[in-house]
Amino acid sequence: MIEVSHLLKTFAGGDVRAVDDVSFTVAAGTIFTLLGPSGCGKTTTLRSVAGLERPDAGAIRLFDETVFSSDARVFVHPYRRRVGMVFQSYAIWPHMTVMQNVAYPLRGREFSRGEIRERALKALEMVNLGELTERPAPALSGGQQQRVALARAIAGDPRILLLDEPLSNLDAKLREEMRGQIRQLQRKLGLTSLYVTHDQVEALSLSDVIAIMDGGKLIEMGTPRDVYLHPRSRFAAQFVGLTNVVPGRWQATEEHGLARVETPFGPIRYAAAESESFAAEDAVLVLIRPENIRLSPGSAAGDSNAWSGRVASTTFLGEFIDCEVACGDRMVRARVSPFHGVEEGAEVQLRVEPDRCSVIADSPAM
Amino acid sequence: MGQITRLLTWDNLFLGGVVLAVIYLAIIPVAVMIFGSLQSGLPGTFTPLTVRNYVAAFGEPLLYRSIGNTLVYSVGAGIISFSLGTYLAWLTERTDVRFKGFIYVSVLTAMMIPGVLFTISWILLISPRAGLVNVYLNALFGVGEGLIDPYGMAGMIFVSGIDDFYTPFLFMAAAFRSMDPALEEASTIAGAGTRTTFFRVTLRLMMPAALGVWLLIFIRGLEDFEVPALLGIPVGTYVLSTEIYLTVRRPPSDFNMAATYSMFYLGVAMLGLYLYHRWTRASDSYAVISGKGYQPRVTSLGRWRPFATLSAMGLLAVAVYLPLVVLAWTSFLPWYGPPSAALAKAMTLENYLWLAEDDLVLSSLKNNLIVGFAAAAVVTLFAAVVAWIVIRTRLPGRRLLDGLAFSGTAYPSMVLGLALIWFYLTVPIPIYATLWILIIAYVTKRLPVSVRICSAVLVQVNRELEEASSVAGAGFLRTFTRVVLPLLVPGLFVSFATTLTISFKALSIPILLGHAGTELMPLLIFDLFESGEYPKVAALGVATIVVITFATAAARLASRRVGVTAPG
Repeated sequence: MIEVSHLLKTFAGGDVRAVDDVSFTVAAGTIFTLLGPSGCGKTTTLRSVAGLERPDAGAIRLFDETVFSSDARVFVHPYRRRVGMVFQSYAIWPHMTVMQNVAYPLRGREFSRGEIRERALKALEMVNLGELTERPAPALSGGQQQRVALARAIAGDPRILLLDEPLSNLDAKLREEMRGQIRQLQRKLGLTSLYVTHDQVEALSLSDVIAIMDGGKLIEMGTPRDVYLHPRSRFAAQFVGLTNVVPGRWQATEEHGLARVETPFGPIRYAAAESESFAAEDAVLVLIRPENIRLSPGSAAGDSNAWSGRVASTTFLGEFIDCEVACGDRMVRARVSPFHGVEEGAEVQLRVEPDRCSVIADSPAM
Repeated sequence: MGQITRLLTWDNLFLGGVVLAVIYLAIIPVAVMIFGSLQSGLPGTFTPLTVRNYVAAFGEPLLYRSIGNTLVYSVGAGIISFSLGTYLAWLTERTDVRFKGFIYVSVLTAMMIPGVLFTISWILLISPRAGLVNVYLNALFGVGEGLIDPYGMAGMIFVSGIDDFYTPFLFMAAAFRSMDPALEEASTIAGAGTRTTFFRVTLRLMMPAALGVWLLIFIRGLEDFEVPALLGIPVGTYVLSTEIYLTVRRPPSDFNMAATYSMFYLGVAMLGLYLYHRWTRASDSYAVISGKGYQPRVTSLGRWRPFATLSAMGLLAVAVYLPLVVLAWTSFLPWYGPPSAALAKAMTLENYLWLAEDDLVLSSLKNNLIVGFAAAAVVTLFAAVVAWIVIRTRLPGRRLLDGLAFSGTAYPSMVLGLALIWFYLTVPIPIYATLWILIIAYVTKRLPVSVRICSAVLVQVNRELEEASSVAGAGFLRTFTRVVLPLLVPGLFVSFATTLTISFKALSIPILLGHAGTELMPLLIFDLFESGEYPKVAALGVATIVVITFATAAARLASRRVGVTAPG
């Protein structure tokens, strides 16, 4: 378990709040992802957990040990925290062999020579590198270095595993493969893991819980499903995947659990969550993913959840066609099947089902 | 109490020990010189403080003349070596001159010749009566004896200028190499011809680097001793280094006056360093010399190509091969003289046999190896620690440590030597007239260069490599020895090798600190030459050059084996 509470880390003499009052808990055996754009404070948070940064305030607990607390004046040095970490650059020591790299965390501990070798070999086998043990580190490919880094991180039997953008230096295909391997390994070992990335696909596919960060603050937290399907903030909606954001005024609840919003595109009905509590005429934002918009020829006939537009541009991307549709003075992104005969300049009808869109408050802060 | 024991870890003891040693090395010389210049007694005695030495120094025309001579000498030698080095660097890096490989080899060869030997060989070549060139000129044209005279300011500037041309060559070659050729190509595409491009773009872009290099040579010239000692002292042309040397060594020796002169000398050296730092910092704004390797644009010399090639060969013949040939020739002679049939018949290996048997030669070689290896090891370790602290930690005062580590550059060798003599005659640390004092001097003198080398390597090492070790459970000492030092190996090799070779080359440190029993090779060469044993000096010189060449080659091979090519 990792427990981070009210973490604060400033740089440049306190002028820059890299991490600003961040709190979260990573349940034992789960993988928790900090997702956000570069400079959002996610890496600083991770490095604070590792002990490579000394935060200004807050507390960090690893299972039952407090490794940092500004109140209790506790700071445990990184080499005493027993964590495993995979660095963005992999940080494979070029002057050592694969074996020496992986055995490093085991040295200086109670293990015998034979035990060290055995454990290192086991770690290497877990990442399918059992046959490369005596290879000098610089003679490895990027993907292999990545796996050595992973083996080294788990070899010392760490309490937690930290991963700092571990896949960002790999090409797309390898990234997908490694993603699966990391997930598999984490499950198999039941390792409590903290993962940092700016890549939403990685976050969605790997995580038990995703926390989205921006400007040093934790914006929202939830399961991948929650974060993608029911974002609670404009930032989260737009950072994780593409979203059309349509401003509107909330009107009233209706039958079948639907509610109605008045928008520039006419009324839009959506499946309201039980927890929400909007009042009539509240400013809200309707969030519609491009893949949930259906395009059909012709123009809309004053129906709810449907409006007209003109196709401004189309981009063929293989898996789908990305369309920009001009609806009045707004642009709406829609994705349609590559077999769809959509043409630039054509008049089209746009439609979204009530259960495929969500509504959040239009608070100026977000 | 708990606080104190917590701080008393091996890590802190190690780091603290090195830091204290660096502070000690940096502070002692200047403190001793200030103290000594305010005394009226010999080292080891204490008298009331007095400004009498300063009053005397200000009233002494010799001092002003020495300062003037030092500046004229440094500027003059700097201009010659800079022009020579830059011209050859430009030819090899940016034109299609022939025999580029040979030019490079010749430059590396020039680096192997100690200054004292280079000067001696020029005396053998152009001394008024016995110099080979003069003898031939007289024989051929009947111009009389001593048409060319190496003694005096002009000779000093000439010999020193052609001695040190490899420094500007290497720096300028690197600068030519690391300039993005796209900048010149952009000029060509904008319609400028070769000539316009050269003057409006290439030359302008090179200016900051060039002036920095020139200032560097100028500062080196300020502390030069070998050339002014051999070519200046006999005719009474003194620069600051020789002036201090004579004040200490020529009876009646006056240590207080020497200390006072040293203060002026320090002032001049600091001024040079200040100019250098100001300039290099200001010129950082030109970010064209990027450190990247480019494929440089090669200018076709056209019909000038044979002349350019010939000029390069001629310059190298004068600056490298003529001195080497005369040394080699002399080393086989029973007595010194110009080549003739009679002398050729009398050629002998006796001088080399003498080398292998003479106790003084063997003990000097042994001393030199001990001092060289010890100083190289210590200075390299210190440099690695200082570089690491300055670059990697946020310790308060790390900038100050950086500055202190550079003090060796500000101390001219003669000042350093005098200060160490004074200090160790005063304090009860019995290392005066031992090899220790020489080791301390070399460590102080070489620390700035070694720190710079280690820093250059360290900034290229990803910080995450050390963090990975920390996270893996390794404390500071283990991280430092298992990760930092191995990654610094290329830098450590260069630092070690250059320090070792310097101990075989530089005369200015052992000239004051070496004694009977603690001679180093350069000092032995100097002493033998003073006593007129030219053939023996030549044989000893040839042997020394061979040793230096082997040491350098071994270091280069070793550092290539660890995967990195060593610069310089």
